[in-house]
Amino acid sequence: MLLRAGHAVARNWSGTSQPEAMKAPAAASSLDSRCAKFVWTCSTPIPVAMKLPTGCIQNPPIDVFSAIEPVFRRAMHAVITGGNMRMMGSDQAVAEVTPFRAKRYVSPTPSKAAPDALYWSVQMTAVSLQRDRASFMRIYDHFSPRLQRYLRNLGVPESMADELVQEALLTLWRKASMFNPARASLGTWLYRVARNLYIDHVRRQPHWLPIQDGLDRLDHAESDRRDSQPESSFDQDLLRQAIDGLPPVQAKLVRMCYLESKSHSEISAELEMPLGSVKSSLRRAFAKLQVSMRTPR
Amino acid sequence: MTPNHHLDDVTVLSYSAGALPAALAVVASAHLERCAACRARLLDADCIGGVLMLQQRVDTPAEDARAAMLALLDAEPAIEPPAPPADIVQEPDSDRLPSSLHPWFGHSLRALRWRRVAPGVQRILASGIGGGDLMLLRIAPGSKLPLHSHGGNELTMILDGAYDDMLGHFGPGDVADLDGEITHQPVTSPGVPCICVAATDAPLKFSGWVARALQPLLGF
Ligand SMILES: [Zn+2]
Repeated sequence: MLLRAGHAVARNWSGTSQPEAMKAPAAASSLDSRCAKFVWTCSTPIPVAMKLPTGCIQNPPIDVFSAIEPVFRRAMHAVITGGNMRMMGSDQAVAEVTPFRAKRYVSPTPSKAAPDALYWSVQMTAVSLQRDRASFMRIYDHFSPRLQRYLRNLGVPESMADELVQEALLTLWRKASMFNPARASLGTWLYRVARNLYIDHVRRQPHWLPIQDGLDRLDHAESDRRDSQPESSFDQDLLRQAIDGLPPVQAKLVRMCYLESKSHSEISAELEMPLGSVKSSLRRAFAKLQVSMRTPR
Repeated sequence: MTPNHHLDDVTVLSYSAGALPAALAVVASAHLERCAACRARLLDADCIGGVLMLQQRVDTPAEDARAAMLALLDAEPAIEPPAPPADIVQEPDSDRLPSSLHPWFGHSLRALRWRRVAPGVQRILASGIGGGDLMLLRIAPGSKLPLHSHGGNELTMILDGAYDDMLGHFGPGDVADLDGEITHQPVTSPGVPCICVAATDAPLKFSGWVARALQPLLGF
């Protein structure tokens, strides 16, 4: 079933430079969902050997990746844009598909445009399927200083923060196949990993990690089951803008909550603000930010 | 069985931020395990955390830190990808407690060893959670309890049985995550005892119907 979908899509995309699907939105969306399935298959190492197009299996790993990469990029595009075919436009979508080694994605020096969710998904696929250290180090270079800063802001001593950052990145290395780009961006995924390590190591809630693993598995099973578009595919830029656009008090509370990990009672005491007001402000902020995540591109 | 009463948005936010006091987090985890809707909101909240984390200004990693990371990769065993997650079969097992409660109360509802603390009220207190109070309560069917909340943080999830109040019917999986000011009077449903897990962020702030139920024993 999965083999057939992936195989058909791969042929489509290697065979035509201006695929039929781009011209007809209805056809495109059904193609999108097949692509999404294919990507999901590809991001799971064990079954992938069985599910790749047969021609790929005999080839060295790099060729497997080359073979699926255009399909992957196309599918990721669909997944990340929520299947809306972000019509900026079909030309660009095609342009993103064809050049496998486009400069933007392999250049070792950072390009002007910030790497996007698609870029990180491709790196993660390389880590997961090929155990590719160069891709891993691109992820490391971008995320580890941010994880480090996050942990330091939470009051974690420097040496422990260093250790937890390494632990987070090792978790990424080990569990790369668990990363589902349709479910959450790499930034969100790593945030979860770092937050969980913080609660386990620093807050010393001894049962937190297994509980989070359990919740992850539930999400995993769920997103596997669901055929609909993922709920979390949204424009990170809109969320970023919405955060920047929060009124000062709400912005302050959101930051105290996330970046200082303060409970509502602690925030209330520190700001001498009634607990009810802290909660209602945070509630309004969350509602606004959720709207930004639901806004179609 | 989909819950009808959910975690407050701000509880989800605080959970995502790792800022929810430990006892409240246990009850929130118990609900999250049974509620896909709240897990979806948690993912939203995690996205916010992810963006905030990435927004920080940082330097590039030092060369020795990069080298140390690569050395750690060298030490990793060769490809041993984790087995794909087994499809979790959610067999309706009414005896099984939510996972987050296992370390504190064991796995089985029927195996719990209750202690009577007041007429019609039994309790099991979790010890050593160190971030508020966590307890199981078993209230006799058909009990009418006075409720009066004082604005502390208190989270209650129904595990078995049910109660009704002005906010509606609370059955298994439902959480009461209420703002401090509401006054209401839960009445446990007839037939089976109402078993719930309740958490507060600090013992002295304990309030609400749970506290009132325990008043005869604790004397406050
Ligand atoms: Zn819920």
